[in-house]
Amino acid sequence: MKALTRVAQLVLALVLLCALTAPWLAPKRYDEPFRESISTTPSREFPLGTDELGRDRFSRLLYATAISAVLAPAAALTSICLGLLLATLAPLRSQLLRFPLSIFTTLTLSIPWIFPFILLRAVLPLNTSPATSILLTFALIGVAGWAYPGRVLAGTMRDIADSDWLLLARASGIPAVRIFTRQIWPHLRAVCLAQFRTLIPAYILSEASLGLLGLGVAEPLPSWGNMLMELQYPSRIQANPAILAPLGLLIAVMVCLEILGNRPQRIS
Amino acid sequence: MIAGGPRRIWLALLTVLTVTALSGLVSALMVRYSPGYGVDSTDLDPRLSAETVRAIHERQAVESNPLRFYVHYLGGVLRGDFGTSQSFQQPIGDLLADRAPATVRLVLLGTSAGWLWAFSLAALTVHFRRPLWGAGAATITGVLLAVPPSVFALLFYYADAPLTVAVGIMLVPRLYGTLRVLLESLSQSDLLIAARARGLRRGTLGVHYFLQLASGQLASLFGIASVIAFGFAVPIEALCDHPGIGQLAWKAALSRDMPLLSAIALVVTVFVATIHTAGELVAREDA
Repeated sequence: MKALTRVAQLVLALVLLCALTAPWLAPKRYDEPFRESISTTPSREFPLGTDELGRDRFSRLLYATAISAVLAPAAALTSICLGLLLATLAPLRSQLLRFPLSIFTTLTLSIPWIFPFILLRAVLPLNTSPATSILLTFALIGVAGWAYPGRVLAGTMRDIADSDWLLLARASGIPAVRIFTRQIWPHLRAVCLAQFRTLIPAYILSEASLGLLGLGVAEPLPSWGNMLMELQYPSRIQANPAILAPLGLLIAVMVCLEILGNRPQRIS
Repeated sequence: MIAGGPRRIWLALLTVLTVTALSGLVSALMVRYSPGYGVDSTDLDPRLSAETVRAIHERQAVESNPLRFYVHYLGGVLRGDFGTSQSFQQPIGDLLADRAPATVRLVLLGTSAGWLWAFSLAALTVHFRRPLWGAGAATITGVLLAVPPSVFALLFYYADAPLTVAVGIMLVPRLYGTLRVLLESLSQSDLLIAARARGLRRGTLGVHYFLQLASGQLASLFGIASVIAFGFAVPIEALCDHPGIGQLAWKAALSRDMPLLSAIALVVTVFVATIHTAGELVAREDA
Protein backbone atom coordinates (compact mmCIF):
# COMPACT_ATOMS: atom_id res chain seq x y z
CA MET A 1 0.00 0.00 0.00
CA LYS A 2 2.92 2.30 0.78
CA ALA A 3 4.38 1.70 -2.67
CA LEU A 4 0.99 2.46 -4.25
CA THR A 5 0.78 5.71 -2.30
CA ARG A 6 4.28 6.65 -3.46
CA VAL A 7 3.38 5.95 -7.09
CA ALA A 8 0.20 8.03 -6.74
CA GLN A 9 2.16 10.92 -5.21
CA LEU A 10 4.73 10.71 -8.00
CA VAL A 11 2.09 10.69 -10.75
CA LEU A 12 0.25 13.64 -9.23
CA ALA A 13 3.50 15.58 -8.77
CA LEU A 14 4.38 14.96 -12.43
CA VAL A 15 0.94 16.07 -13.60
CA LEU A 16 1.13 19.20 -11.46
CA LEU A 17 4.62 19.95 -12.77
CA CYS A 18 3.41 19.57 -16.36
CA ALA A 19 0.43 21.80 -15.55
CA LEU A 20 2.57 24.56 -14.07
CA THR A 21 5.12 24.47 -16.88
CA ALA A 22 2.63 24.01 -19.71
CA PRO A 23 3.44 27.31 -21.49
CA TRP A 24 7.12 26.30 -21.73
CA LEU A 25 6.61 22.56 -22.19
CA ALA A 26 4.00 22.74 -24.94
CA PRO A 27 5.63 22.59 -28.38
CA LYS A 28 2.79 24.58 -30.00
CA ARG A 29 0.19 27.12 -28.95
CA TYR A 30 -3.12 25.60 -27.84
CA ASP A 31 -5.10 27.59 -30.44
CA GLU A 32 -2.63 27.46 -33.35
CA PRO A 33 -4.22 25.69 -36.34
CA PHE A 34 -2.08 23.78 -38.81
CA ARG A 35 -4.27 23.74 -41.89
CA GLU A 36 -2.11 21.26 -43.77
CA SER A 37 -2.36 18.73 -40.87
CA ILE A 38 -6.03 18.36 -40.01
CA SER A 39 -7.10 15.31 -37.95
CA THR A 40 -3.71 13.65 -38.27
CA THR A 41 -2.57 10.59 -36.32
CA PRO A 42 0.36 10.81 -33.85
CA SER A 43 3.65 11.77 -35.43
CA ARG A 44 7.00 13.19 -34.35
CA GLU A 45 5.70 16.73 -34.84
CA PHE A 46 2.34 16.08 -33.19
CA PRO A 47 2.79 13.40 -30.47
CA LEU A 48 -0.99 12.93 -30.03
CA GLY A 49 -2.02 14.00 -33.51
CA THR A 50 -4.17 17.02 -34.36
CA ASP A 51 -7.87 17.77 -33.98
CA GLU A 52 -10.37 18.61 -36.72
CA LEU A 53 -9.10 22.21 -36.75
CA GLY A 54 -5.48 21.12 -37.07
CA ARG A 55 -4.50 22.04 -33.49
CA ASP A 56 -1.82 20.02 -31.69
CA ARG A 57 -3.56 17.70 -29.22
CA PHE A 58 -0.50 17.28 -27.02
CA SER A 59 -0.11 21.04 -26.46
CA ARG A 60 -3.83 21.38 -25.83
CA LEU A 61 -3.71 18.55 -23.30
CA LEU A 62 -0.88 20.28 -21.43
CA TYR A 63 -2.80 23.57 -21.27
CA ALA A 64 -6.00 21.70 -20.35
CA THR A 65 -4.14 20.07 -17.46
CA ALA A 66 -3.00 23.50 -16.32
CA ILE A 67 -6.55 24.87 -16.39
CA SER A 68 -8.26 21.90 -14.73
CA ALA A 69 -5.53 21.16 -12.19
CA VAL A 70 -5.21 24.76 -11.00
CA LEU A 71 -8.83 25.88 -11.09
CA ALA A 72 -10.39 22.84 -9.41
CA PRO A 73 -8.52 23.54 -6.14
CA ALA A 74 -9.43 27.23 -6.50
CA ALA A 75 -13.12 26.29 -6.79
CA ALA A 76 -12.76 23.96 -3.79
CA LEU A 77 -11.25 26.83 -1.81
CA THR A 78 -14.21 29.04 -2.78
CA SER A 79 -16.64 26.39 -1.48
CA ILE A 80 -14.73 26.01 1.78
CA CYS A 81 -14.62 29.79 2.35
CA LEU A 82 -18.35 30.15 1.67
CA GLY A 83 -19.15 27.12 3.80
CA LEU A 84 -17.03 28.48 6.61
CA LEU A 85 -18.68 31.87 6.37
CA LEU A 86 -22.18 30.42 6.68
CA ALA A 87 -21.12 27.85 9.27
CA THR A 88 -20.22 30.67 11.65
CA LEU A 89 -23.97 31.31 11.92
CA ALA A 90 -24.64 27.70 12.94
CA PRO A 91 -24.02 28.08 16.69
CA LEU A 92 -26.63 30.85 16.88
CA ARG A 93 -29.57 29.75 19.01
CA SER A 94 -32.12 32.03 17.36
CA GLN A 95 -34.61 29.99 15.33
CA LEU A 96 -35.25 33.12 13.26
CA LEU A 97 -31.73 32.95 11.90
CA ARG A 98 -31.32 29.20 11.84
CA PHE A 99 -34.47 28.48 9.86
CA PRO A 100 -33.58 30.67 6.84
CA LEU A 101 -30.10 29.17 6.91
CA SER A 102 -31.57 25.68 6.92
CA ILE A 103 -33.88 26.63 4.02
CA PHE A 104 -30.95 28.06 2.09
CA THR A 105 -28.92 24.91 2.66
CA THR A 106 -31.83 22.68 1.65
CA LEU A 107 -32.39 24.78 -1.47
CA THR A 108 -28.72 24.51 -2.45
CA LEU A 109 -28.59 20.79 -1.75
CA SER A 110 -31.92 20.26 -3.50
CA ILE A 111 -30.95 21.46 -6.94
CA PRO A 112 -28.92 18.95 -8.91
CA TRP A 113 -25.67 20.81 -9.66
CA ILE A 114 -26.05 20.55 -13.41
CA PHE A 115 -29.18 22.76 -13.48
CA PRO A 116 -27.48 25.98 -12.35
CA PHE A 117 -24.93 25.47 -15.11
CA ILE A 118 -27.60 24.94 -17.74
CA LEU A 119 -29.37 28.09 -16.51
CA LEU A 120 -26.12 30.07 -16.49
CA ARG A 121 -25.29 28.94 -20.00
CA ALA A 122 -28.71 30.04 -21.18
CA VAL A 123 -28.36 33.46 -19.57
CA LEU A 124 -24.80 34.18 -20.76
CA PRO A 125 -24.43 36.18 -23.97
CA LEU A 126 -23.29 34.16 -26.99
CA ASN A 127 -20.12 36.24 -27.32
CA THR A 128 -18.84 35.55 -23.78
CA SER A 129 -15.04 35.39 -23.87
CA PRO A 130 -13.33 32.05 -23.15
CA ALA A 131 -11.52 33.54 -20.13
CA THR A 132 -14.84 34.68 -18.65
CA SER A 133 -16.33 31.24 -19.32
CA ILE A 134 -13.46 29.61 -17.39
CA LEU A 135 -13.88 31.93 -14.42
CA LEU A 136 -17.67 31.57 -14.43
CA THR A 137 -17.54 27.79 -14.76
CA PHE A 138 -15.21 27.27 -11.85
CA ALA A 139 -16.71 30.10 -9.77
CA LEU A 140 -20.16 28.55 -10.14
CA ILE A 141 -18.81 25.08 -9.35
CA GLY A 142 -17.31 26.60 -6.19
CA VAL A 143 -20.45 28.51 -5.24
CA ALA A 144 -22.81 25.62 -6.03
CA GLY A 145 -20.78 23.28 -3.88
CA TRP A 146 -20.67 25.36 -0.68
CA ALA A 147 -23.48 23.43 1.01
CA TYR A 148 -21.55 20.16 1.31
CA PRO A 149 -18.59 21.50 3.31
CA GLY A 150 -20.96 24.06 4.85
CA ARG A 151 -23.06 21.36 6.47
CA VAL A 152 -20.03 19.54 7.90
CA LEU A 153 -18.45 22.77 9.11
CA ALA A 154 -21.73 23.91 10.67
CA GLY A 155 -21.84 20.66 12.66
CA THR A 156 -18.25 21.19 13.79
CA MET A 157 -19.02 24.79 14.79
CA ARG A 158 -22.00 23.64 16.84
CA ASP A 159 -19.84 21.01 18.59
CA ILE A 160 -17.19 23.63 19.31
CA ALA A 161 -19.76 26.10 20.63
CA ASP A 162 -21.13 23.45 23.02
CA SER A 163 -17.72 22.22 24.17
CA ASP A 164 -16.54 22.45 27.74
CA TRP A 165 -13.06 23.57 26.76
CA LEU A 166 -14.45 26.65 25.01
CA LEU A 167 -16.49 27.50 28.08
CA LEU A 168 -13.39 27.06 30.25
CA ALA A 169 -11.29 29.20 27.91
CA ARG A 170 -13.93 31.96 28.00
CA ALA A 171 -14.27 31.73 31.78
CA SER A 172 -10.52 32.01 32.11
CA GLY A 173 -10.69 35.39 30.38
CA ILE A 174 -8.64 34.44 27.33
CA PRO A 175 -9.11 37.07 24.58
CA ALA A 176 -11.46 36.11 21.75
CA VAL A 177 -8.76 36.37 19.07
CA ARG A 178 -6.49 34.04 21.00
CA ILE A 179 -9.34 31.58 21.59
CA PHE A 180 -9.99 31.54 17.86
CA THR A 181 -6.38 31.16 16.73
CA ARG A 182 -5.27 28.70 19.42
CA GLN A 183 -8.44 26.73 20.19
CA ILE A 184 -11.07 26.96 17.47
CA TRP A 185 -9.04 27.24 14.26
CA PRO A 186 -6.99 24.02 14.76
CA HIS A 187 -10.28 22.08 14.94
CA LEU A 188 -11.76 23.82 11.92
CA ARG A 189 -8.55 23.60 9.91
CA ALA A 190 -8.54 19.80 10.03
CA VAL A 191 -12.16 19.64 8.83
CA CYS A 192 -11.53 22.27 6.14
CA LEU A 193 -8.51 20.36 4.88
CA ALA A 194 -10.44 17.07 4.73
CA GLN A 195 -13.30 18.78 2.86
CA PHE A 196 -10.86 20.53 0.53
CA ARG A 197 -9.29 17.19 -0.38
CA THR A 198 -12.62 15.55 -1.16
CA LEU A 199 -13.92 18.50 -3.17
CA ILE A 200 -10.99 18.64 -5.63
CA PRO A 201 -11.73 15.31 -7.40
CA ALA A 202 -15.46 16.11 -7.30
CA TYR A 203 -14.87 19.40 -9.08
CA ILE A 204 -12.53 17.84 -11.62
CA LEU A 205 -15.31 15.36 -12.46
CA SER A 206 -17.92 18.13 -12.55
CA GLU A 207 -15.87 20.15 -15.03
CA ALA A 208 -15.32 17.04 -17.14
CA SER A 209 -19.06 16.29 -17.28
CA LEU A 210 -19.92 19.90 -18.08
CA GLY A 211 -17.23 20.09 -20.74
CA LEU A 212 -18.50 16.95 -22.44
CA LEU A 213 -21.92 18.60 -22.69
CA GLY A 214 -20.41 21.83 -24.00
CA LEU A 215 -21.42 23.75 -20.87
CA GLY A 216 -17.99 24.22 -19.38
CA VAL A 217 -14.89 26.07 -20.54
CA ALA A 218 -15.49 27.64 -23.96
CA GLU A 219 -13.32 27.05 -27.03
CA PRO A 220 -10.59 27.76 -28.03
CA LEU A 221 -9.31 27.36 -24.45
CA PRO A 222 -8.80 23.68 -23.68
CA SER A 223 -9.87 21.84 -20.52
CA TRP A 224 -10.11 18.17 -19.73
CA GLY A 225 -13.86 18.51 -20.06
CA ASN A 226 -14.08 20.11 -23.48
CA MET A 227 -11.34 17.81 -24.82
CA LEU A 228 -13.62 14.89 -23.92
CA MET A 229 -16.25 16.22 -26.36
CA GLU A 230 -14.53 14.29 -29.12
CA LEU A 231 -15.61 11.06 -27.44
CA GLN A 232 -19.00 11.72 -29.01
CA TYR A 233 -17.55 10.71 -32.39
CA PRO A 234 -16.58 7.01 -32.34
CA SER A 235 -15.27 7.16 -35.92
CA ARG A 236 -12.66 9.71 -34.86
CA ILE A 237 -11.59 7.51 -31.94
CA GLN A 238 -11.17 4.57 -34.30
CA ALA A 239 -9.07 6.69 -36.64
CA ASN A 240 -6.92 8.09 -33.83
CA PRO A 241 -7.10 6.36 -30.41
CA ALA A 242 -4.89 9.14 -28.99
CA ILE A 243 -8.18 11.06 -28.61
CA LEU A 244 -8.61 8.97 -25.47
CA ALA A 245 -5.49 10.54 -23.91
CA PRO A 246 -7.40 13.23 -21.92
CA LEU A 247 -9.75 10.56 -20.55
CA GLY A 248 -6.80 8.34 -19.62
CA LEU A 249 -5.07 11.23 -17.85
CA LEU A 250 -8.28 12.22 -16.06
CA ILE A 251 -8.89 8.67 -14.81
CA ALA A 252 -5.24 8.32 -13.74
CA VAL A 253 -5.42 11.56 -11.73
CA MET A 254 -8.73 10.56 -10.15
CA VAL A 255 -7.44 7.12 -9.18
CA CYS A 256 -4.26 8.68 -7.70
CA LEU A 257 -6.35 11.17 -5.71
CA GLU A 258 -8.48 8.30 -4.41
CA ILE A 259 -5.41 6.29 -3.42
CA LEU A 260 -4.30 9.30 -1.40
CA GLY A 261 -7.65 9.27 0.36
CA ASN A 262 -9.48 11.97 -1.54
CA ARG A 263 -12.82 10.36 -2.37
CA PRO A 264 -15.04 12.76 -4.31
CA GLN A 265 -18.00 14.32 -2.58
CA ARG A 266 -21.55 13.39 -3.57
CA ILE A 267 -21.80 16.47 -5.82
CA SER A 268 -20.00 14.62 -8.61
CA MET B 1 -45.19 7.86 13.58
CA ILE B 2 -42.48 10.53 13.43
CA ALA B 3 -40.72 11.27 16.71
CA GLY B 4 -40.80 14.85 17.94
CA GLY B 5 -44.50 15.06 17.19
CA PRO B 6 -46.34 17.15 14.67
CA ARG B 7 -43.93 20.08 15.18
CA ARG B 8 -41.24 18.34 13.15
CA ILE B 9 -43.70 17.47 10.41
CA TRP B 10 -44.97 21.05 10.29
CA LEU B 11 -41.39 22.33 10.12
CA ALA B 12 -40.65 19.92 7.26
CA LEU B 13 -43.79 21.05 5.44
CA LEU B 14 -42.85 24.67 6.00
CA THR B 15 -39.39 23.97 4.60
CA VAL B 16 -40.81 22.41 1.44
CA LEU B 17 -43.34 25.24 1.03
CA THR B 18 -40.68 27.92 1.51
CA VAL B 19 -38.34 26.20 -0.92
CA THR B 20 -41.22 25.99 -3.42
CA ALA B 21 -42.09 29.66 -2.95
CA LEU B 22 -38.45 30.74 -3.28
CA SER B 23 -37.72 28.61 -6.31
CA GLY B 24 -40.99 29.84 -7.81
CA LEU B 25 -39.83 33.42 -7.25
CA VAL B 26 -36.47 32.74 -8.88
CA SER B 27 -38.20 31.03 -11.82
CA ALA B 28 -40.72 33.85 -12.21
CA LEU B 29 -37.99 36.51 -12.14
CA MET B 30 -35.97 34.61 -14.69
CA VAL B 31 -38.94 34.44 -17.03
CA ARG B 32 -39.89 38.08 -16.39
CA TYR B 33 -36.38 39.38 -17.13
CA SER B 34 -35.48 36.94 -19.90
CA PRO B 35 -34.50 38.47 -23.24
CA GLY B 36 -37.49 39.07 -25.44
CA TYR B 37 -40.08 39.12 -22.64
CA GLY B 38 -42.95 41.50 -23.43
CA VAL B 39 -42.14 41.68 -27.13
CA ASP B 40 -45.37 40.81 -28.87
CA SER B 41 -45.81 40.02 -32.53
CA THR B 42 -49.40 41.29 -32.35
CA ASP B 43 -47.95 44.83 -32.40
CA LEU B 44 -47.23 44.32 -36.08
CA ASP B 45 -50.48 42.56 -36.96
CA PRO B 46 -52.37 44.91 -39.32
CA ARG B 47 -55.65 43.06 -38.68
CA LEU B 48 -55.79 44.28 -35.05
CA SER B 49 -57.27 47.66 -34.24
CA ALA B 50 -55.45 50.27 -32.16
CA GLU B 51 -57.84 49.61 -29.24
CA THR B 52 -57.06 45.89 -29.27
CA VAL B 53 -53.31 46.52 -29.32
CA ARG B 54 -53.72 49.04 -26.47
CA ALA B 55 -55.75 46.50 -24.47
CA ILE B 56 -53.02 43.87 -24.97
CA HIS B 57 -50.38 46.38 -23.82
CA GLU B 58 -52.44 47.28 -20.75
CA ARG B 59 -52.75 43.60 -19.85
CA GLN B 60 -48.99 43.18 -20.24
CA ALA B 61 -48.33 46.31 -18.16
CA VAL B 62 -50.04 44.67 -15.19
CA GLU B 63 -47.54 41.84 -15.44
CA SER B 64 -44.52 44.16 -15.73
CA ASN B 65 -44.55 44.49 -11.93
CA PRO B 66 -42.30 41.59 -10.79
CA LEU B 67 -44.36 40.90 -7.67
CA ARG B 68 -47.64 40.75 -9.59
CA PHE B 69 -45.98 38.66 -12.23
CA TYR B 70 -44.77 36.25 -9.53
CA VAL B 71 -48.25 35.90 -8.03
CA HIS B 72 -49.70 35.39 -11.52
CA TYR B 73 -46.95 32.89 -12.41
CA LEU B 74 -47.34 30.91 -9.17
CA GLY B 75 -51.12 30.88 -9.61
CA GLY B 76 -50.65 29.46 -13.09
CA VAL B 77 -48.16 26.87 -11.86
CA LEU B 78 -50.60 25.72 -9.17
CA ARG B 79 -53.19 25.17 -11.92
CA GLY B 80 -50.58 23.29 -14.00
CA ASP B 81 -50.11 26.20 -16.41
CA PHE B 82 -46.37 26.89 -16.74
CA GLY B 83 -46.75 29.10 -19.80
CA THR B 84 -45.64 28.38 -23.35
CA SER B 85 -42.24 27.20 -24.48
CA GLN B 86 -40.52 29.68 -26.81
CA SER B 87 -38.56 27.05 -28.70
CA PHE B 88 -41.16 24.27 -28.93
CA GLN B 89 -44.19 26.60 -29.21
CA GLN B 90 -46.17 24.21 -26.99
CA PRO B 91 -47.62 24.48 -23.47
CA ILE B 92 -44.81 23.69 -21.01
CA GLY B 93 -47.13 21.57 -18.87
CA ASP B 94 -47.74 19.27 -21.86
CA LEU B 95 -44.03 19.03 -22.63
CA LEU B 96 -43.26 18.09 -19.02
CA ALA B 97 -46.07 15.54 -18.91
CA ASP B 98 -44.84 13.96 -22.18
CA ARG B 99 -41.23 13.72 -21.05
CA ALA B 100 -41.59 12.93 -17.35
CA PRO B 101 -42.40 9.18 -17.66
CA ALA B 102 -39.13 8.44 -19.50
CA THR B 103 -37.05 10.22 -16.85
CA VAL B 104 -38.99 8.76 -13.93
CA ARG B 105 -38.50 5.27 -15.35
CA LEU B 106 -34.77 5.87 -15.92
CA VAL B 107 -34.28 7.32 -12.42
CA LEU B 108 -36.40 4.78 -10.54
CA LEU B 109 -35.07 1.67 -12.29
CA GLY B 110 -31.50 2.99 -12.20
CA THR B 111 -31.75 3.86 -8.51
CA SER B 112 -33.26 0.50 -7.63
CA ALA B 113 -30.52 -1.36 -9.52
CA GLY B 114 -27.71 0.80 -8.09
CA TRP B 115 -29.09 0.59 -4.57
CA LEU B 116 -29.42 -3.21 -4.79
CA TRP B 117 -25.90 -3.70 -6.18
CA ALA B 118 -24.31 -1.34 -3.67
CA PHE B 119 -26.22 -3.02 -0.85
CA SER B 120 -25.14 -6.49 -2.00
CA LEU B 121 -21.50 -5.39 -2.30
CA ALA B 122 -21.57 -3.76 1.14
CA ALA B 123 -23.34 -6.77 2.70
CA LEU B 124 -20.77 -9.18 1.23
CA THR B 125 -17.87 -7.02 2.44
CA VAL B 126 -19.31 -6.79 5.96
CA HIS B 127 -20.30 -10.47 6.04
CA PHE B 128 -17.00 -11.98 4.92
CA ARG B 129 -14.76 -9.48 6.77
CA ARG B 130 -11.73 -10.46 4.71
CA PRO B 131 -9.19 -7.82 3.63
CA LEU B 132 -9.33 -9.18 0.09
CA TRP B 133 -13.08 -8.51 -0.14
CA GLY B 134 -12.63 -4.99 1.19
CA ALA B 135 -9.76 -4.27 -1.19
CA GLY B 136 -11.71 -5.72 -4.13
CA ALA B 137 -14.79 -3.62 -3.38
CA ALA B 138 -12.66 -0.50 -2.85
CA THR B 139 -10.94 -1.06 -6.20
CA ILE B 140 -14.23 -1.55 -8.06
CA THR B 141 -15.84 1.52 -6.53
CA GLY B 142 -12.65 3.56 -6.89
CA VAL B 143 -12.37 2.86 -10.62
CA LEU B 144 -16.08 3.53 -11.16
CA LEU B 145 -15.78 6.81 -9.28
CA ALA B 146 -12.88 7.94 -11.45
CA VAL B 147 -14.91 7.86 -14.67
CA PRO B 148 -17.10 10.93 -15.39
CA PRO B 149 -20.80 9.91 -15.54
CA SER B 150 -21.16 11.36 -19.05
CA VAL B 151 -18.34 9.18 -20.36
CA PHE B 152 -19.95 6.16 -18.75
CA ALA B 153 -23.26 6.99 -20.40
CA LEU B 154 -21.59 7.29 -23.81
CA LEU B 155 -19.93 3.92 -23.32
CA PHE B 156 -23.30 2.30 -22.67
CA TYR B 157 -24.87 4.14 -25.59
CA TYR B 158 -22.23 2.86 -28.01
CA ALA B 159 -22.57 -0.67 -26.60
CA ASP B 160 -26.36 -0.42 -27.04
CA ALA B 161 -26.75 -1.41 -23.38
CA PRO B 162 -29.72 -0.27 -21.22
CA LEU B 163 -29.16 3.21 -19.79
CA THR B 164 -30.78 2.20 -16.50
CA VAL B 165 -27.85 -0.18 -15.98
CA ALA B 166 -25.47 2.74 -16.57
CA VAL B 167 -27.29 4.82 -13.93
CA GLY B 168 -27.21 1.85 -11.53
CA ILE B 169 -23.49 1.23 -11.99
CA MET B 170 -22.70 4.94 -11.55
CA LEU B 171 -24.63 4.96 -8.29
CA VAL B 172 -22.80 1.96 -6.80
CA PRO B 173 -19.60 3.78 -5.73
CA ARG B 174 -21.63 6.72 -4.43
CA LEU B 175 -23.78 4.51 -2.18
CA TYR B 176 -21.38 1.74 -1.26
CA GLY B 177 -19.41 3.68 1.40
CA THR B 178 -22.49 4.86 3.30
CA LEU B 179 -24.18 1.45 3.11
CA ARG B 180 -21.06 -0.33 4.31
CA VAL B 181 -20.68 1.98 7.32
CA LEU B 182 -24.39 1.54 8.10
CA LEU B 183 -24.23 -2.25 7.87
CA GLU B 184 -21.04 -2.41 9.91
CA SER B 185 -22.49 -0.30 12.72
CA LEU B 186 -25.68 -2.36 12.69
CA SER B 187 -23.87 -5.69 12.75
CA GLN B 188 -22.03 -4.54 15.86
CA SER B 189 -25.10 -3.15 17.62
CA ASP B 190 -25.93 -4.63 21.03
CA LEU B 191 -29.39 -5.66 19.89
CA LEU B 192 -28.13 -7.79 17.02
CA ILE B 193 -25.29 -9.29 19.08
CA ALA B 194 -27.81 -10.27 21.80
CA ALA B 195 -30.19 -11.70 19.19
CA ARG B 196 -27.38 -13.70 17.62
CA ALA B 197 -26.27 -14.96 21.03
CA ARG B 198 -29.82 -16.27 21.62
CA GLY B 199 -29.36 -18.40 18.52
CA LEU B 200 -31.90 -16.71 16.29
CA ARG B 201 -31.82 -17.76 12.67
CA ARG B 202 -30.36 -15.45 10.03
CA GLY B 203 -33.70 -14.98 8.31
CA THR B 204 -35.38 -13.93 11.56
CA LEU B 205 -32.45 -11.63 12.37
CA GLY B 206 -32.68 -10.01 8.98
CA VAL B 207 -36.41 -9.46 8.91
CA HIS B 208 -37.23 -8.73 12.56
CA TYR B 209 -34.13 -6.90 13.71
CA PHE B 210 -32.09 -5.60 10.82
CA LEU B 211 -34.94 -4.25 8.70
CA GLN B 212 -36.64 -2.70 11.72
CA LEU B 213 -33.44 -0.98 12.79
CA ALA B 214 -32.35 0.26 9.39
CA SER B 215 -35.49 0.67 7.27
CA GLY B 216 -35.68 4.44 7.82
CA GLN B 217 -32.06 5.09 6.97
CA LEU B 218 -32.19 2.75 3.98
CA ALA B 219 -35.31 4.48 2.66
CA SER B 220 -33.69 7.87 3.19
CA LEU B 221 -30.61 6.72 1.30
CA PHE B 222 -32.83 5.50 -1.54
CA GLY B 223 -34.31 9.01 -1.75
CA ILE B 224 -30.89 10.62 -1.87
CA ALA B 225 -29.77 8.08 -4.48
CA SER B 226 -32.74 8.97 -6.67
CA VAL B 227 -31.74 12.65 -6.46
CA ILE B 228 -28.19 11.78 -7.56
CA ALA B 229 -29.64 9.63 -10.35
CA PHE B 230 -31.78 12.58 -11.43
CA GLY B 231 -28.57 14.63 -11.73
CA PHE B 232 -27.14 11.92 -13.97
CA ALA B 233 -30.26 11.98 -16.14
CA VAL B 234 -29.33 15.29 -17.78
CA PRO B 235 -26.00 14.24 -19.36
CA ILE B 236 -27.30 10.74 -20.08
CA GLU B 237 -30.44 11.93 -21.83
CA ALA B 238 -28.62 14.72 -23.65
CA LEU B 239 -25.78 12.55 -24.93
CA CYS B 240 -27.74 9.34 -25.51
CA ASP B 241 -30.82 10.84 -27.18
CA HIS B 242 -33.19 9.68 -24.43
CA PRO B 243 -36.44 11.72 -24.63
CA GLY B 244 -36.81 12.75 -20.99
CA ILE B 245 -36.81 15.92 -18.89
CA GLY B 246 -33.01 16.03 -18.88
CA GLN B 247 -32.91 16.20 -22.65
CA LEU B 248 -35.68 18.82 -22.57
CA ALA B 249 -33.59 20.97 -20.18
CA TRP B 250 -30.60 20.51 -22.42
CA LYS B 251 -32.51 21.59 -25.55
CA ALA B 252 -34.04 24.51 -23.65
CA ALA B 253 -30.55 25.67 -22.64
CA LEU B 254 -29.27 25.45 -26.20
CA SER B 255 -32.20 27.46 -27.53
CA ARG B 256 -32.20 29.82 -24.50
CA ASP B 257 -35.82 29.02 -23.75
CA MET B 258 -36.04 30.63 -20.29
CA PRO B 259 -39.74 29.91 -19.53
CA LEU B 260 -39.16 26.20 -20.15
CA LEU B 261 -35.88 26.14 -18.23
CA SER B 262 -37.43 27.97 -15.28
CA ALA B 263 -40.36 25.57 -15.17
CA ILE B 264 -38.01 22.56 -15.23
CA ALA B 265 -35.84 24.11 -12.50
CA LEU B 266 -38.96 24.74 -10.37
CA VAL B 267 -40.30 21.19 -10.78
CA VAL B 268 -36.88 19.65 -10.10
CA THR B 269 -36.29 21.79 -7.01
CA VAL B 270 -39.66 20.96 -5.49
CA PHE B 271 -39.26 17.24 -6.26
CA VAL B 272 -35.76 17.11 -4.76
CA ALA B 273 -36.59 19.30 -1.73
CA THR B 274 -39.53 17.03 -0.90
CA ILE B 275 -37.35 13.91 -1.08
CA HIS B 276 -34.58 15.56 0.98
CA THR B 277 -36.96 16.74 3.68
CA ALA B 278 -38.85 13.44 3.85
CA GLY B 279 -35.54 11.58 3.98
CA GLU B 280 -34.29 13.74 6.83
CA LEU B 281 -37.52 13.21 8.75
CA VAL B 282 -37.33 9.44 8.38
CA ALA B 283 -33.59 9.26 9.12
CA ARG B 284 -33.96 11.36 12.29
CA GLU B 285 -36.78 9.13 13.42
CA ASP B 286 -34.53 6.12 12.87
CA ALA B 287 -31.59 7.65 14.72
